Amino acid sequence: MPDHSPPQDARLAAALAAVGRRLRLLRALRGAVLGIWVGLAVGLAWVLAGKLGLVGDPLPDAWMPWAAVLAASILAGAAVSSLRPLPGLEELALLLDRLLGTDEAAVTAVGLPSEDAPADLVEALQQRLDEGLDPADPRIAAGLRFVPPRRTRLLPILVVALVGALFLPPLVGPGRHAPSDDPAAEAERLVERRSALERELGAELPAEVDQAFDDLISALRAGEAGRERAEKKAEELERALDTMKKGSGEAVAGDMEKASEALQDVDVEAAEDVEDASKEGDLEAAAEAVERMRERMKTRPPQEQEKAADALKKAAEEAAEAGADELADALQNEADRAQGGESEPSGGGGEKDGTNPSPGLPGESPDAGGRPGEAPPQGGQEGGDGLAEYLRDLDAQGLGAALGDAKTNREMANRMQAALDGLGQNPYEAAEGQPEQGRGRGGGKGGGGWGAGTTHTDEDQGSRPEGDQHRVMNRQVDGLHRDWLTEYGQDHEAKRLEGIQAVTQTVDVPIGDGPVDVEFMRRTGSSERSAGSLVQAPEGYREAADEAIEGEGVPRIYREQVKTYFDAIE
Amino acid sequence: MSDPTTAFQEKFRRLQAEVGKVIVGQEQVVEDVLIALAAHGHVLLEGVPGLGKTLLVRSLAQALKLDFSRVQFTPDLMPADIIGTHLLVDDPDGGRRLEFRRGPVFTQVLLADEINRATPKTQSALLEAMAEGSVTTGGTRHELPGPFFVLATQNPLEMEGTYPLPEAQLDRFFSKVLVPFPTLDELGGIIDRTTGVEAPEAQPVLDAADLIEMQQTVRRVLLADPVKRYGLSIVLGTHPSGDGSTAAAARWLRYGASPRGAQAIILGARVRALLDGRPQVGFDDVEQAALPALRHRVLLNFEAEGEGLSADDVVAQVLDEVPRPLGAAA
Repeated sequence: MPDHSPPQDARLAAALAAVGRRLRLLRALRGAVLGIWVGLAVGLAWVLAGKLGLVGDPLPDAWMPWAAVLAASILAGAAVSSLRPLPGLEELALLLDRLLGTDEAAVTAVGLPSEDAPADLVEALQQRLDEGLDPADPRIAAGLRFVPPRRTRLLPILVVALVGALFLPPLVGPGRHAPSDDPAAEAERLVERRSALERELGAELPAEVDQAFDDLISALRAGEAGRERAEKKAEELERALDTMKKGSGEAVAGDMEKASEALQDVDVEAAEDVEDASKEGDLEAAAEAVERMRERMKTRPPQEQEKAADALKKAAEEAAEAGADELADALQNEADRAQGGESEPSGGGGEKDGTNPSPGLPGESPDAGGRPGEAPPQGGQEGGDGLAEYLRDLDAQGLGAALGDAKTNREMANRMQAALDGLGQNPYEAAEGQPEQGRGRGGGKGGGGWGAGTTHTDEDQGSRPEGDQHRVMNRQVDGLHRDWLTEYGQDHEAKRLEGIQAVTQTVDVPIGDGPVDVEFMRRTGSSERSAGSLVQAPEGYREAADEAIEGEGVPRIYREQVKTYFDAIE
Repeated sequence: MSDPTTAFQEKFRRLQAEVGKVIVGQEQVVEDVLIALAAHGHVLLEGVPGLGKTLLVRSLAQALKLDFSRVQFTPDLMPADIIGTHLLVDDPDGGRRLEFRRGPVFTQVLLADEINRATPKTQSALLEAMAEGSVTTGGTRHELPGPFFVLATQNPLEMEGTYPLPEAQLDRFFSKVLVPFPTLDELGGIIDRTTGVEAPEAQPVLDAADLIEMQQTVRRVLLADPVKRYGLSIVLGTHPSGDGSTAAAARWLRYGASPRGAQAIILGARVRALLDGRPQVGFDDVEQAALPALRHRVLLNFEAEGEGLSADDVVAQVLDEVPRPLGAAA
């Protein structure tokens, strides 16, 4: 845009100045309106924060600071807007022309070159401008109307929202939020908070956490701690509690696995039930499964009961070695119960209904008959808590949910590890080093490494071939029958293979008619994901056709035919 | 000092009135043709046969007291039939020499009647004459008499036996004026004037000098930068891609207008400003000048033709899209 010098004509200059002043005034008004908008928005946020207990003094109690913010917003908006530099002379002249309807006479006048302008036409222009220009003409001042900023159309909504929010009840209870500055009140609030935590947990807080709460409450009551410190400390305690619960969940998950493994040699059905229940985080169901096992145990021959007791004892010893003392005790007691079932008809203290076997024989186990100092089991039976009671005790501590989380985390970790193990393995190494890997592991499966194919399976022979190569082949072929849906998904998770090496080897195996050709394929390049999987290809074609039709601008009357053509290609 | 705008207006109206004595109705067509003449531009008149296109051009030549030639374009017309040809003539001294025999292009007002009935080769024979006001043949350049105008008529392309004009040829026309079919009243007037004993004829009211003076006045009309930028934005807005392209152009046009289009818009706007008695060009002048200046300079794409859109429709959309610089918002 060329730089224009002030017009020579004083009337034009005065008119442009009047337009400039009016423009500045209107801008200040717009800025003030924006300031109102901002102030109301701050007020609304303030009210909502007060309802949420995030600020100490919500509106309307704290109207003074808010009014100050509102006033400051208005003043700042007006000042900033009015101080913005005015547009150039050309822009002002265009505005003047629009106001006066002078057909761009003003903008032509301010843009006239100082020389070479045709004098006769310049004179004609000046005459024309004089007819329309009068600085005292109110049209110049009044022509420019105030246009509110677009976003201020929301002002009424904002006002209604603000008023409505003022009448809202507090969105959170005073127990957790809206802390006061009074330490004594804060102490009472902490007491409520501790009770709420205990209710949530379903058990008493751990001793160290409980003690910390007590100390804090005492400090508050004695005026030795402020509100902020109390709030911070309480949050730390809650976090510590969460961490403890998570740690307990991990430990319980480990115990449950051990228990399930121990029961494998005792009662397979109970072992499966316990495993399923632990996956669900349902400790009560696990306890019931153990009780059902006890019922079944009573109907078994003495030899089997003896064998089960031995297995449980062995598991108890292993648990003790692993540091799970409580589980070890429970398993030991369960072993005693199993043996007690055998001797129930002659055992002392046992009930005829058999719901609780009598304690084990003295001298068989140091823990037989229950731990010293513990109350006897319900029903007046002697002996310590068994596995069912141990599980119920854990459940009472609210560790069922933590157990579920821990299980989930552990399973996910196992799956990820299996997936990682399956990447890039050489089948020979895998066969030698990990001959019995589980599902999802091993070379040739998953995304990389080796793959093999053959025309025979060892299932045809009904026997397992010997030798490393045979094991490799066997494992690959097994994989084909494992989970065809998973295989299909993996195969169609499209990958671009670059640099494939295929090696065909003849393997002398005693199956079928003799040697079997096995082709190993090795991908030497790195894998790279394609833009989409195979199953997305038809849809991709359709979208490409639609885009082509849109992009080429096919006339409407031909579009159907063009679409038919693309459909035919597809 | 006399107001040049008033003098221009007076001459223009006198010429318009004289032509109006012969041509019934078609006021807008007459005004558009006169605007092109005042801007020293060539005009392409398009309309079905029998609408008085030829009569308009002949009347204009008569009213301006200019030399007038008419060439009826046919499929077998050759370039030499327009420009002229070298003839072998006998010298008085017994020898022979080649002598250039001037064609009908050597005139001041050339009526190229039904120009789209000739082949493109013959149509292109007018390129140099229209752009530079001269003809080159046999290595010799021949200046045409000034002022030189080509007023071409063409039938709509849908009619059989026509050849579309090459883009280079089209670009040399200042404006394209569509001749509509007359209304019932106008048709009655035509019958009254042409079936009587005496057919009216235009009388000379201006001469070549007057016309040249008008053309010089046009070029001195004041033009503000924002107005000029608006005109150029319209031209850029007709391009389907690039800076300043509009959505209408991107969707419906294959090619946009050339810089000659911008020249035509500004000159046309200057004439319109003078006709309104103003020494300066306004945005309205530019907008009014855009349609006749651009409708033959834009090339519709296949989709626009399939949708039945005309160049006028698309240019109107472009004009809607290009914003006027209206000054700082309050």
